[in-house]
Amino acid sequence: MSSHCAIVGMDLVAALGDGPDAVWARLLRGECGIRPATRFPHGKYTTDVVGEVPAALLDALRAETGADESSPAYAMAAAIAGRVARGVPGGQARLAGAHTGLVLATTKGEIGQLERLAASPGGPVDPCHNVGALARDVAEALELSGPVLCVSNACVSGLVAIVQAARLLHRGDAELMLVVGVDVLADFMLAGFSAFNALSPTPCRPYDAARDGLSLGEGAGSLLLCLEPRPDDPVLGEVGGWGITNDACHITAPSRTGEGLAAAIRAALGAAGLRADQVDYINGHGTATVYNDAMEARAIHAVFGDDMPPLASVKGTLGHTLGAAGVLEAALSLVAMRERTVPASIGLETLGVGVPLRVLREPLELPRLDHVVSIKSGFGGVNAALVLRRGAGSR
Amino acid sequence: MIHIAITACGCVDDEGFGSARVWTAWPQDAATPPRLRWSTLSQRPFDRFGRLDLLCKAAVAAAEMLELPVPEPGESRPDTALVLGTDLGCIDVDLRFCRSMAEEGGASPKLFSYTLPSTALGELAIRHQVTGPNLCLSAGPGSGLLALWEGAKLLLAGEARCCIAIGAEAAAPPAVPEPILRACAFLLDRGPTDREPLATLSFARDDEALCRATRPDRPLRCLFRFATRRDGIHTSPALYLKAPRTLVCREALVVAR
Repeated sequence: MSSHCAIVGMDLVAALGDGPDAVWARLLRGECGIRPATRFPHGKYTTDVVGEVPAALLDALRAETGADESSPAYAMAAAIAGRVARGVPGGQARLAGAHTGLVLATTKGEIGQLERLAASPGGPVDPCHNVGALARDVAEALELSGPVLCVSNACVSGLVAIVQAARLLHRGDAELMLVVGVDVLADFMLAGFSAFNALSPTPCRPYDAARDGLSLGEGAGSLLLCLEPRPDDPVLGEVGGWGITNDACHITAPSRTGEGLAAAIRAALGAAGLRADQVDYINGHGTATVYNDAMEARAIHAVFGDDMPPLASVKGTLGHTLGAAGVLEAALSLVAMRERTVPASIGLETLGVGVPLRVLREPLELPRLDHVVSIKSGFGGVNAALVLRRGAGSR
Repeated sequence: MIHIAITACGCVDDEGFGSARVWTAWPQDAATPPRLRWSTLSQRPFDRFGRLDLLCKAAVAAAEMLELPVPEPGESRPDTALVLGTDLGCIDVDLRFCRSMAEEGGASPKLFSYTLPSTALGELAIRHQVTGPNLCLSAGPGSGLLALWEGAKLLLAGEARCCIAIGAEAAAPPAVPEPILRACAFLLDRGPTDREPLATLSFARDDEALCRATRPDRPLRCLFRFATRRDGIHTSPALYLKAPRTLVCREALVVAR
């Protein structure tokens, strides 16, 4: 089956700000969005630093979407998706008029609503944080008439959502597909990852010898996909191929060998018709946990060998945005291709993942940046790899 | 016309559990829904069952009814996909985890492991050594039916040769007003197989399939009840599946949402 489809719109919001160009500029300057938390008490969890979307920006997104205080995920998702819809030639009317679907990726959606209900004693709670309902709310706000579903596949949710949107397009189930990835910081995640001792007390350091855990982040990303772009559509990039596998060995820990992730990368390259030496940049998962980064390093080395393309993780500056990560980082990878620049992996001082990797400490301009492989892994042993190609609309 | 065979079915719900081969009703004095115990469900060992949350238990139990051969050490199933559809997801353990956050000793890491609906896919992958593609989706009350549909489509697209497609809803008060236990698992096969088909999904067009049951079968009926329970429609051994959440029965068109 062909896996090719065009990406004609994108937007994102994250700890470093609003919009792909603003976030990219700050990323290249080496700024870190992981800072002392403003919405969570200090000293309660095993870290006080997180990649929060700035409060003023979150308020602006709420105002943009009419979302109330209890719906930050909706505010981010609807705002970003709405901008993508309005930004494409023909605007939102084009999406509403076409058979446009939505795949929303999230791990916990509006989990803060459940936290508040759980804190109140008494009777049954309404399952209002249902992730499928969040997808439907965003689709209704944009008056979409195509298929609507939520993908909740742990930390690979974002990549799987892009894949699912491409599948729906190829089947003819929709003319246009919006993909939205969103997750918001909540006590739920901070408490859970603290209980796992998985959080770094300082901004995380992907692939570093002294890495000591991840930093949680929040944000949203959105892409608009289609098979046949209009002549006036800006083709920002293309989905080239994908691979999804499961380690089938542990619920919360990655495989020690990296075989599952390596198989996903090989499948993605095969579907895209690419050799490993044609990849120009690897957008790594790089959570900065000891075992994830070591597993990822083995997988990358197994596929690409010593002569590998440059690798970077943005987790050291945005934090781990969980279900949003795949979409948000795919959007940044499109910018990387447009600018022919690989970002630095913020937080890296001394490489220490057991095998040689080409992780960048400084941004690197390349004469050619045509193919990116984005990789993610998650709880439940799942791995995903997505090949992105440079678009005709890139400079 | 392209055909996808449903070669095994499993079901666990508030009436009983079983496969295409055998069905066991819960004892009359059992709670509704009954508490799932592995020793009741299967003769085969599975030490982890007791630690699973309700969604994982329901999904794993339904898949066990497929009677897949236990993999030998080192054996895996890279050509098999896993698809789970669930509307309520893991709301039960989400709520329990939220409440554990306020307890002395703090949040439970054991519960946190299960606060993703896709954890059920991880449990199934380990149990059956499935290393192929995973998809965990939520699309309202028709999520179980959508899992079957998406599983068939993965096979049609050549992304896998077999698929275990599961629809599961399992939760207890106070997460939901009334206890819920419904899970159906289907083994989908494309191409030659030794297993006799229980039903066939025949795709004449991309967006429509005719599902014909070879014989009336309880788990197969359960799926359609599962998919359409809130609509209260009757079941039928011959129905159409129409993307994305629509069943076309012999007499009526019903949108499962």
